[in-house]
Amino acid sequence: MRWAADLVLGIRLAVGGSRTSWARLALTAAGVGLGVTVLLLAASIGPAREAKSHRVQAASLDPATANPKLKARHVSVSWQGRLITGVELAATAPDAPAPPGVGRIPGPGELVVSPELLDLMRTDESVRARFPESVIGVIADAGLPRPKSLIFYAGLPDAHHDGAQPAAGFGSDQPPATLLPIYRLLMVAAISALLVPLGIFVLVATRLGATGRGQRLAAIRLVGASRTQLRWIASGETLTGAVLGLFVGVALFFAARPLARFIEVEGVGFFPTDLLPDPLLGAVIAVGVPVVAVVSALLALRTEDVGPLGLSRAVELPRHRAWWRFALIGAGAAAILATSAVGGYWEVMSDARPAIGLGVGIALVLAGTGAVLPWLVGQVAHRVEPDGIAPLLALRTLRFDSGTPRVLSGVVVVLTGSLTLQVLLGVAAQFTAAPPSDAPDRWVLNLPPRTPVRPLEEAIALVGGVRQVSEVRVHVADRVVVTSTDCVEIAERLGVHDCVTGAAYLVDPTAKPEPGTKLRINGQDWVVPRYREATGDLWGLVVAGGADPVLASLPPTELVVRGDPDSSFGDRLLAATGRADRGVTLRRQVEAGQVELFTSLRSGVIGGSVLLTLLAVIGLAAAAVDQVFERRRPTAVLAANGVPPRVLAVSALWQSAIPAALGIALAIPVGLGTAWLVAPAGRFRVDWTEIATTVAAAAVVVLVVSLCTLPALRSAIRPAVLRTE
Amino acid sequence: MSGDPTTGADGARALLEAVDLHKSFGPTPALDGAGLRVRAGEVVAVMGPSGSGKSTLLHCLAGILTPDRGTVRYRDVELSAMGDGARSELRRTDFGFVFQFGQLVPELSCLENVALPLRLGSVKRKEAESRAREWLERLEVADVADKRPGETSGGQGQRVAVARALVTGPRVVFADEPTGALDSLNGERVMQLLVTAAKETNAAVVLVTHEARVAAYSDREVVVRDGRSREMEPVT
Repeated sequence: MRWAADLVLGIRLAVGGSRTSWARLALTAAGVGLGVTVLLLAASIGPAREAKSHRVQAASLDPATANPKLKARHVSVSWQGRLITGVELAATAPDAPAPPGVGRIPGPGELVVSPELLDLMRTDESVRARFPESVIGVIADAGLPRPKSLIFYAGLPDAHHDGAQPAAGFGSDQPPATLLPIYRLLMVAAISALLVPLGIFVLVATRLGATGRGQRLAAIRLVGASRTQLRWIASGETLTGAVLGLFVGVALFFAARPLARFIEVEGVGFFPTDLLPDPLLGAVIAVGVPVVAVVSALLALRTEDVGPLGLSRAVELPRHRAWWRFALIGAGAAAILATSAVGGYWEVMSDARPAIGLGVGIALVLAGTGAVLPWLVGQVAHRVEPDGIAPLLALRTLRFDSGTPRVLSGVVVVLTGSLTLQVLLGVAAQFTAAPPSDAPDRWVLNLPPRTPVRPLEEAIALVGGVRQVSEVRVHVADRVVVTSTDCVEIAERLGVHDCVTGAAYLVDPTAKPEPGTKLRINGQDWVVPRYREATGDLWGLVVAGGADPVLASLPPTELVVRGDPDSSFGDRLLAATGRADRGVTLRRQVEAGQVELFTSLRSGVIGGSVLLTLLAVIGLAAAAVDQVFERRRPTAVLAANGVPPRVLAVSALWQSAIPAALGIALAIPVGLGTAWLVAPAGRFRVDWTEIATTVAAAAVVVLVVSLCTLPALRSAIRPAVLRTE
Repeated sequence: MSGDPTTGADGARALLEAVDLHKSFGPTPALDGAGLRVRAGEVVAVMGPSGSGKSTLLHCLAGILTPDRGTVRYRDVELSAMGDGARSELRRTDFGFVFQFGQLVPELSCLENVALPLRLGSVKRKEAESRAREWLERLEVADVADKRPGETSGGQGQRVAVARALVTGPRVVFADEPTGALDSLNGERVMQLLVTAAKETNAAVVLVTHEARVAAYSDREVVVRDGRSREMEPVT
């Protein structure tokens, strides 16, 4: 049990009791703690999404095949670009179940709303006006996907009973919708990219005060500790900081968890109870963080070789080999190119196999970029000979400093990854957000089944700015899709200019009905007219129906309104139709929902980057302060020899600025280059504002880090330090 | 008369013997054929100007540095043939060290510092601290037992270091400028206590110094100059 005694001695050294040792331990614990908090948060994403999807599934309608107990229909209300979704429902059996989180089924004229919607209704009259029903209750947490969900349950008006679907109750056993392979992969790549700097941050936090530790261990070597004993002692010392940091991280995580209720970014939010780390990942963090810390300390001991007289490490850091770093980037680029050669962007979007190739390629590029920075910093530190004293001191110090480039490597990985991901998600959003047919002055209203159209059209006519309303009817008869609308719509969506009433066009090459064939439509015979083929944004056999009595007997599925392009027009349109039927939705809402997914993913990437940049600031500041502290003797000597404090402060600024500038210079071309390789031709766009923001943020980071070192620097250059040293 | 530094004046068997040591740091030679012979219980002062190689000689004698050429034998065993573990054990059990600076661990209390070599061996904490406390009392610094080295004066710190060097009952104490950072009064007291305690335990002391008044505590003096050693005439 000799090792146990040595381990305990290491722990004793860590909690030495002197102000310095407590400060070092606190810094390490805070650093590791922050890292652990973020890791726990990352480990909670899976379970949180699962809990959320359970609630969503529990609240989804169970379509009745037999024994229906409810009639219900989904409705949505758009208000200032926000989508308020709800269900209108009515009990058709005495034992009809209430939705989760709701005490009873609201009757006609009654409304149950989510807390967020209630707040909105209280603060904004225009929202209240969209809900003429009286509010009889608030949906409990169990019935809400997220704390700030805007949802409601309303009694089904008698007029809409026919359009409602029968339902057995609530709770669907269908698996929740999953993301496309590419997004799952990009999310995994993003999380991995974000975890790399986090790991580096934790590592740097556990290595704070390394020089002091080396001297301490040398003193112990002198009185007879063997190398093996030293390893156990160093492990004990590092373990203390790591374990304390683990506790701090867990405490921070649970202390911050209640705040989740109040935080929602771009529609992504969770209840505090949702955020519980996956047990396996939690165990990996609990074991992994201390193990990584100890292993890093032991690896450092291997390179340092602490002898009885002190560190026998090479005075300068060993020069790094470059080839494998660039080889990683090259291999990554090759993997991306190979994937692009096998399948285009859309194949990658929909098929998991090329997506894996792409993911591996991006991961290799990111790993290579992170590895190149320390080499690059080493090259610059050894080759550049500036004239100024401050940059000279900074470059010379960088020759000894492995902490700053290490932390910045993490930042560079995040930057590169986020630049790549943002461009790619931007490309995906471009495709989704801009369907070719959607002119800004054209508003497509999707109608619920069997909704009375006349009152809707009357309501729409009262909206100022309406120029034209077209009805679109879609019906499937004998596997032939028959679409009936007017020539205005046909001309616009199929690009034909000779449309007359009765003309027909086929936009479905898979089904070619013979002209003259009889189809059964709405219980009547309808003869397929002569047609010609066309392409465009309508489907099936498109007929300029006009006064065709059979087609006119079909209920319209869409109303196309031409009016103002302004978004408030859409709101006014929905407000007007909502009075007649709240089930009418704008197609742009659905598209907006898809765009929202990309926005959420982008926000996630940006949010993660911001969080990790903050961690990097703390890590860099801690490493910089630690270095000033460890180098206080040479610093005091410089000050005593007449080097002005201003020069020393500027030197600290240079010391962070040089690696940061090199990091950005590396991240921007590699990040954008990777995105260029992946993005489809012609869709690659560089957001220069974003790049300018990145550079500005880096400048702020450098400034903040340098400012953080000033108190330590001021303390180090006091003459008293030189005397006591 | 200048004598052969590898043989004692009375021809008694050597406890520690260095013969023809050569050691260079890069292109700079530190030892160039130095030698020394230390008998049990004697105090040998190694003197010489700065950069003469006296500290390097002490480090080679203690097995901290391995000479490029030549041999160091302790109780007839060659140190360079020992592995790191064996040499570490030797430092823990048979050797004690008092240096000018930095040999105390700042995070540990003075009592814990003195008990450290015992605890690195497998002595139980209570026993180790009890023995450490005895030595602190013997060296008149029992009152700083619970203080950390940074909270003591230079003289107290060096006495704690002496206590730590002697707590394991070593056969040889290596002292490199032990009074270098002390005023003369404190220096005298530390030397008195070190030499008295060493004599009481029959420990040999290899004392590196450039101060004649410190060397005066020794039984004999060896001068190192340009990496070579030379025995001085006994002072009468």
